[in-house]
Amino acid sequence: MTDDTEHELGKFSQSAALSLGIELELQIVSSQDYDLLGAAPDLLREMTGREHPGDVKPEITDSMIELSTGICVDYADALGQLSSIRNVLVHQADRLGILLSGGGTHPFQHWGRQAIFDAPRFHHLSQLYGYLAKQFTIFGQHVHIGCACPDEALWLLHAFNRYIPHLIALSAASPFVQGIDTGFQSARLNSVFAFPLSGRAPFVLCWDDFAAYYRKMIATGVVKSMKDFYWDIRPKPEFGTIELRVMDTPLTVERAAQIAVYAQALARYLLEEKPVEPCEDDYLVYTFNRFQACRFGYEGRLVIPGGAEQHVIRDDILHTMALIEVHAYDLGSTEALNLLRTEVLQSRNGASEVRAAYAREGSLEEVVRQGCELWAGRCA
Amino acid sequence: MEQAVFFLPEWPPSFSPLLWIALAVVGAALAGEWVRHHLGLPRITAYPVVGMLVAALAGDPLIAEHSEWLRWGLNVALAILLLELGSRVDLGWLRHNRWLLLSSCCESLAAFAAVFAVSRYLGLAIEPAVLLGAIGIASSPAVIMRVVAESKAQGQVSTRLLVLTALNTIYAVVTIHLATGGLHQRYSGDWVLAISHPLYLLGAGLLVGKLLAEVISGVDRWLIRMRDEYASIVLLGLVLITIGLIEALRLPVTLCMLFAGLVLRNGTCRAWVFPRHFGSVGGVLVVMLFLVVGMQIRIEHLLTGGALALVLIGARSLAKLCGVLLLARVSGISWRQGLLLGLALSPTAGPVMVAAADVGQLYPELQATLLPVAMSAAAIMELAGPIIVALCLKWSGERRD
Repeated sequence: MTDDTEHELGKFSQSAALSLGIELELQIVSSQDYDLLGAAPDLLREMTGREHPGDVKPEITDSMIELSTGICVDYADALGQLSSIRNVLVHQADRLGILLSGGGTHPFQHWGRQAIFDAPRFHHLSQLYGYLAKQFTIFGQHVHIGCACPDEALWLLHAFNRYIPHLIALSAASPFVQGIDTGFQSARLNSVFAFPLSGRAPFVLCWDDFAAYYRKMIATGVVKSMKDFYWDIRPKPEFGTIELRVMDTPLTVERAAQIAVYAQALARYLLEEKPVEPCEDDYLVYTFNRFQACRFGYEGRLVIPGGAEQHVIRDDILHTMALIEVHAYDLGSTEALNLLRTEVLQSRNGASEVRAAYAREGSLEEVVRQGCELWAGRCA
Repeated sequence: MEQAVFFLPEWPPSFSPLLWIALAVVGAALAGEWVRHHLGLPRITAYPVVGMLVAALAGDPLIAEHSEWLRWGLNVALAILLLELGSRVDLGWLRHNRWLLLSSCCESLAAFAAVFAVSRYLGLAIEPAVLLGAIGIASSPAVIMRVVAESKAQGQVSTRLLVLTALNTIYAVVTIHLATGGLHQRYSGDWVLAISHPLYLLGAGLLVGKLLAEVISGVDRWLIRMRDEYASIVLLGLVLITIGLIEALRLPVTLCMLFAGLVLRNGTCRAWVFPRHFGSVGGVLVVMLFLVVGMQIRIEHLLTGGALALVLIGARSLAKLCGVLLLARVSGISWRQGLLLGLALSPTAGPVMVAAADVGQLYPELQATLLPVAMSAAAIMELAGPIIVALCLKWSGERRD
């Protein structure tokens, strides 16, 4: 298996600064019992040759599917692309009598019943990670942010560490795992932490140093390519972007687009105003903050790096929204920011919606059904 | 003159036939496990074979003496299976995918035409040929439900298999009753009777189905979750009451139960999932069902229909296959899936056989022409059906056991 090792880090591609790309991993749900259904091959077959922006790809187990947009410039573009891919996908799913849903976890699927998608890379991962691979039947949103040069990408990557709890709290949509309320708002990330190469990227701010780190890791034989790093944020040299990977797939495409442009406006604020200079010590509080966001969402506490000052995550998000408002305006995402702010003020995210649905309906199957309707853009 | 000791049993002791039936159930269950582990075939493959052997050994009295409660057990088992099958049909899917509905009509029509044509070619009169064609429409709900459930199959082939089976069973029952209406006309010359009979069956059948569905979903809402064991007892009771009602009203169980399931699933937009424990209640009855079906098969049944039965089976299976394949790609499945789906539809239906037998009793003239061929074809498919379905599901890659 040494032949597929990428020994050298690829060149960092040129991409328009602050351009956006969104990837969403989706749940394929059976309309018979509302459990996950291994229908990715059927759905992919029916998707071939259909006109839509972006791309649709398989994921590690065959009850998952990933959609991705092309390069987007702003909120309207991102939402437009996401909606039209969603519509094509939902139309094909309707033909097949299956359902699609957002959300970071399926509330009651059993990981042991999932099957690995039939492709060499996924079989390799399954062999390597054993049951972890099937437990990785979790669904995330990845946001790519274009960077003009590789050093800027690394700087932005580390400057973002303070805001990771924001992205987690805003997107959190995985309170239930294997039929049980975990108490977490984003239980999905707990499954990511199980992987040996998860966590944060090493603190280097210069691309040559990063390339040197990469070569050393390749030499140890631990990794074969950038794909083997499951970091919360990782550079993506082929695209010329950094990829934010902590978000759960939200329940709707609207929310997914809003979170993406929040990150975009935040990046613009960070790059243009340089309010902070990232340093290694920022990461002293990183895992604590991340845990707080996963567990308590908006109510969690966030320790501001470089001190002992604690903020409630909700207040910190609202404060940040005020700071980035002008950047959001320039990027054309004022509407998205306002919608998102309302949600924060009402303490609403995917997790709270899922819990409210369960309290209302008393049945996880019904929660899943409503989630699917919500995702399809039909009112539940 | 020796005096028998009063508390000792007679010698040799006389065993009640119940004991023999129980023995047959245990034997069938064990044979089912053996078949499963050593041949990798579905358990229900073994049940009718054991039933056939038991009947051959013990003879008719076994069934004759207990026909009443055996028929009840059979009805209950079938009722549960059909209720679940009905609840698998998502009318929303048929609305979104008209091609699926069309392919259901296609395969049913083709099967009807094939069986009708073969019977006519072989010299049957029009009426029995229509009846035989109607029987040919239905795939066996019992065989297909059980094999899909046992192999935990999930995917396009298995889901469509269930939906198409539910639909073609409905078409078949309706056609049979329309044909019965036709026979009434032919045999009694009474037009009013000929029209009102099928209308009554369909209308009242729908009504009873709707009633059962309403009560079940009412109880479901009231208890919030119809998922635990105790709720299953209520559900079983409701099914029994319905069967009582159906018998009193002289309605077909098949139609009522399928309609009830359909309404349960589609009457509300809330997620309806068939209670899991209910499956195991049904499980015991299913052994009985296939055992009893097997008991009715005689070796001579397999032979009397002979070549005609084989030709019938072949034509019907080919027709179903073509009907499905024709619209496979436009309805959203691959050619391979279409092939397997078409083949898996081939098992013939027990309940429809029962309906035909009823008609045969009403009109003894048909006994000689219709029944032997139908019984023979049904018997052959009863034995081969589970294997065909199991293999199709295996090749489709949808088995998850």
